[in-house]
Amino acid sequence: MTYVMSYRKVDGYVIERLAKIVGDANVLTLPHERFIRAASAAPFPLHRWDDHAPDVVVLPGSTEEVAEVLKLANELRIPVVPRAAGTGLADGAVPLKKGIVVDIKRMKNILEIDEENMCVTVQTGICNNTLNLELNKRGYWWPFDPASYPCSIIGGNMGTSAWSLIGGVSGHIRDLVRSFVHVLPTGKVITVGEGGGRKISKSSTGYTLKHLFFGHQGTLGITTEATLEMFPKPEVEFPAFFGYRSFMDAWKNALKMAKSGLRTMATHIMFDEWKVEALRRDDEAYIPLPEHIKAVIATCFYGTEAEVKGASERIFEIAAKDGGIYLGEELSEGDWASRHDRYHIAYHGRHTDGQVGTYSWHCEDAAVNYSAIPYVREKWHALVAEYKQKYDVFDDMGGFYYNNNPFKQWGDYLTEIDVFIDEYHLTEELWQKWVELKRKIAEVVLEVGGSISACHGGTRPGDVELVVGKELDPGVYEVMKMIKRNLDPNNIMNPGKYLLDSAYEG
Amino acid sequence: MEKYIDERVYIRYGIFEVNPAKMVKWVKQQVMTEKFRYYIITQRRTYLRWMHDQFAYRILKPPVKHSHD
Amino acid sequence: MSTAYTYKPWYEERWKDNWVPEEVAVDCYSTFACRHKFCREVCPVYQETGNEGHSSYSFHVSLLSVARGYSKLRELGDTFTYCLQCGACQLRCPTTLFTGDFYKITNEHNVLVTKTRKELIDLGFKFKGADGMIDNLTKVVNDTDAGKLPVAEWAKDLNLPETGEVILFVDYFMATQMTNILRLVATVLKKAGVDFGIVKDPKPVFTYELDYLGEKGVAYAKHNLETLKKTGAKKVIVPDPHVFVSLTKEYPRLLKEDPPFDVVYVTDFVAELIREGKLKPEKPVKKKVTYHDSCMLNKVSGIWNSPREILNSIPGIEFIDEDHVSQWYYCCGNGASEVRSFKTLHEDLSYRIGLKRLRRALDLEVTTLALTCPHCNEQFSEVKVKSNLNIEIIDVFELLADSLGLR
Repeated sequence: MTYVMSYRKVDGYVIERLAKIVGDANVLTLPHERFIRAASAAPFPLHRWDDHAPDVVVLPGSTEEVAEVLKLANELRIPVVPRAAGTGLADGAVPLKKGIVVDIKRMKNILEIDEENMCVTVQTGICNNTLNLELNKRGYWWPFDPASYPCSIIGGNMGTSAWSLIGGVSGHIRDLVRSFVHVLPTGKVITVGEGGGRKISKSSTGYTLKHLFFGHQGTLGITTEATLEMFPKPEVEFPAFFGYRSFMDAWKNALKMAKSGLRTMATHIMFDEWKVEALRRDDEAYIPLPEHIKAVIATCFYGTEAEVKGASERIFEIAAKDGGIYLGEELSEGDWASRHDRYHIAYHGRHTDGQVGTYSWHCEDAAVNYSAIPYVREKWHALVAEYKQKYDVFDDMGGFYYNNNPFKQWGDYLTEIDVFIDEYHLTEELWQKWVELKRKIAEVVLEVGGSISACHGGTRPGDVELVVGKELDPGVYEVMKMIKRNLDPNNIMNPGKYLLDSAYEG
Repeated sequence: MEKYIDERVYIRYGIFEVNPAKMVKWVKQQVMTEKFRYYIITQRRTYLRWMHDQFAYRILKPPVKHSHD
Repeated sequence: MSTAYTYKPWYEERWKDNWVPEEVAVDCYSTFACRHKFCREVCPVYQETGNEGHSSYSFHVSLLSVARGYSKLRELGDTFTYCLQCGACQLRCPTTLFTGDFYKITNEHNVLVTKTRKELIDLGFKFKGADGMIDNLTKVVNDTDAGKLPVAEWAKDLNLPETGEVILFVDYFMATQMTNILRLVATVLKKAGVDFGIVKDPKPVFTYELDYLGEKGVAYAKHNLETLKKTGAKKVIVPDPHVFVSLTKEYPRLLKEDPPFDVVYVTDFVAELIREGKLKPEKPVKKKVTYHDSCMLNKVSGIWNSPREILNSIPGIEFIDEDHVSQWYYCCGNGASEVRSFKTLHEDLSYRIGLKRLRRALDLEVTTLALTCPHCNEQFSEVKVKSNLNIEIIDVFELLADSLGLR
């Protein structure tokens, strides 16, 4: 039996009921208020913008209001899509079936700072940068550093199981949350931790359900509060960038860095030849690299001065082993501090005639083991070049290969190719070409035994069929469906993501 | 004083800029004073210093023999 | 090409209820392309409302939705009232901050907000509070034209000429509403032996709101510029950050003309006098002080050093500083208007934004919040009264005058 989804249309009655829960002023129905909340930061079919605009937006002010909205959605059978910053890169926040967008950003207070037990409790609508600035005032540090640090929001970081540039010293989001208040798709509110203690970081009581709610892309409910780790603010930071005569030199050197055992090393990141060329074209740090530099490794260290000083001497010795040349303080410090902002400028893309265009910067992120990096890089760039040649809406801004491993530097890498897409000039045909390109990029990753997404998510067109059909163990997907069906009996929670409508089929 | 680096990038008054000929078809440049460009650069420099402050108390300098800035 | 003014030419064409010029749409797309909304977190309004519609990203993308036929301009009115034009977003936007100098294209949010409001008003789509805003402006215009504003009274006993190479320039706001601070500025300059003149009939500058007045606005701008030229000024000293923005940015943009004189903010001028030894602040002033960066001065004009320098030169002051980049997140709540526009549009929000700033100052355990903007001064004084918070609101020049033994 094929499952036929039938949801209630959002009409005046629904608006009225929603207004009773969150207040009139917090129910938004005007077209622009809805359309600004249609996209995530992933490539977007702007030519079909209305396909993804929600029917209504609500701005709840409390866990109770969120729970009531979900109960209503179940009662009336209306899709609900949670939205934090909307800076996710896998369309978690993009409504596939319209409905209600629950925008959590009114709930962004810090509830408690516990300096003895070193944790901070927040409402999940708080931004990473804003939280860190508050903690800084007391000498503490929120050490979660995604590329979207200045603008992404805890609730979304959890929903996507996001990744930190400095995960090598302080882990990723799933390592930094002790417990959280979560509203299940039915509207039932639970507190999820390691076990039962709100401020406990490791326990063995009951099933460890915590990680289930990281990366669900909003399909398993809405998290409204979280108790987070709080670190002491490091004494020193030490960024050091090295240039290499070839990518392979850099790649060889990266393994030595990975195995160095330097505990204060937050990351090492390879920039491939295409990236270095693109930076020569328009680099925010504006320090031209000498022509013989073909690749770069960026390293950064955090910790006490004594520990980092020792590490800094060692990293220079390691870099030299494969001809790594230090690129200087100004570049290292400036480029490291630019690591969040460089992504989002529309003018970095070039049309095939060399003219500056307006392109959306998009990064495809896979998790790939060290050994496969050179191969993946070649295949990916060849693919994008082929599509750029044929269709002027794409450009290649090069590749990054980041340490992907929490609390260490060896294992796998977040391999990223930065594809630019001129969404302003998209047609359906060109959009489908993008989806085709995305699929081919994902297939390369599966070829080498990697994972299609290190941290964005696998819910997008082009990815999701491969994630569900090829990457995940079929048994795993069966369990996913069981969980989805049981936690969300009416399929109202971000329906369609991860092809989980199939969970409800006869 | 202008210096043409390559067909992609210029230096003008010591600051890099894109070759203006690259911004005629799809997107136009706005009218802008040199003073305003310096304002942007100054603000950016202070922002970059500020970004370091959020992650550590100070930046360590590289080992002496490698410091040549 | 180095020019005298900075602006986006394509912002000048008139709009329709269902149409904006193509270049405006492309501009708005380039903001949509970002989708990362660095602008959102620095917005003082967003920090209070939690509504992402209140951000530069959303303003631009709302206009894109009009360009693409999904919305009408008339529907945007209410959203566009949620901005006090503090300038944080247009500065923080990576398109400005990171590549504005490279690509020579930036985020011009403040101008876009005025432009959109102006189009809405002129097309007959009055948003809530629009009438109040226009009434406030009109009242000042009428009083000015009828000669009812005593804009020269403040200096009547100071024997200041109307010509000179150095001219101290204010408009009606400081001349009639912050007279005591203005007189202190004049006294300090005199103490340093500076020969300066003043303008006895300035027209209101209105900063970003001049555009609402059409021809009248242009006439006012021309009058001020011509009057200043006639004084023979080589250097114009300005003690009001809003006037500073008008002379250095809005007038050149509107009149397509660079003024033939240097425009100097008063704290830059006076800090130099202190450095040169022409002013010696010697009397100790025993206060624990923090400084609030005025948005028009810090974010829009890039001036933050000189007020701090002056405070640091005053003996006895314990100066607890908060850096000027962190202050991108703050605003007194008044915004860029001289005529209380944001307070008219959103009285409660304006209060809450100011309250947050005062509370932040009190977190630093200071007795005193030092300012160098008469509009911040007016706003904080009102917030202080309404909230009953125990903090002294004082201008940098009051502290300096005390230390110079001038009062």
